[in-house]
Amino acid sequence: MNPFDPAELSAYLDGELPAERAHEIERLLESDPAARAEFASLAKAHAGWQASARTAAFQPAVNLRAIGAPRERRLTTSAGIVAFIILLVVAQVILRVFDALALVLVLECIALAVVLAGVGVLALRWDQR
Amino acid sequence: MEAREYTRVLEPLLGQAAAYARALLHNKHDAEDAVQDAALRGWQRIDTFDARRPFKGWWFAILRNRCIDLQRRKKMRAADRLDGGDLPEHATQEQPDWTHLVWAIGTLSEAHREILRLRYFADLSYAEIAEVLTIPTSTVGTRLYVARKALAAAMRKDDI
Repeated sequence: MNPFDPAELSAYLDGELPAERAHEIERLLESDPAARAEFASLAKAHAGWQASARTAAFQPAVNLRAIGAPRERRLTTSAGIVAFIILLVVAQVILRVFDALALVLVLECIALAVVLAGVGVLALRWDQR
Repeated sequence: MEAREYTRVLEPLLGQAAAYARALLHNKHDAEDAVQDAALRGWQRIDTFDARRPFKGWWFAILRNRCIDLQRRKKMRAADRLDGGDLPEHATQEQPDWTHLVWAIGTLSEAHREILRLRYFADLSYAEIAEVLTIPTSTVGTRLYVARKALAAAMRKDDI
């Protein structure tokens, strides 16, 4: 067996040694009373500390729904802005082609689009509260 | 990594994260704030996560930095008591177990304190601790052994 490092008892306790080295440490513990006593002391203290630390754990009130959602909301808002711009372009084309009646209709459509976009934004902000 | 995958991997870690943040900040509400901030910040920095490395170590490094930021903001030293905090000024037999442990850990050097908190409160493996502290895994083993000896001596000294 390679020379024994006391820190390896600590790593063995944590299950962090490679399998072969762990087996060597096990054989050492079987044959060396001093190493066995030190390991027993370490294991006892470790169990106590582990049990103590677990009493600090609690389930925090964390809102994970906000993760990823802002990107989806930005997509919705961006889509609304793009739709509004398309409407404006279409309105410009229609103005050059049709008469006053058509112009009034187009303006009413634009106004409706603005109102719907505003309602959508307000709804999103309400949802975020 | 998609948002759904991120939250799926993160959710089981929140209890341990809360324990670790509480051991560092000594305050349940601050611990909750730190965990919430770290959850959001981790998602904002998801592009920095290397899938070949342990996620838990990467994310706990973010949580640790968040806790340190909060500590600085409150201008709190690790061993001091906060108004409304969970940690007593003196260890007694009546406090919950974890405060005994944090109090004893607080008497050690910063390097020993940190590695003990990550091992016992965050329940991280050696590889994950190495990721958080950016030290070799072999150093984790050695430092943890020395820290455990120091902690045992501190607790014997105070007869806890």
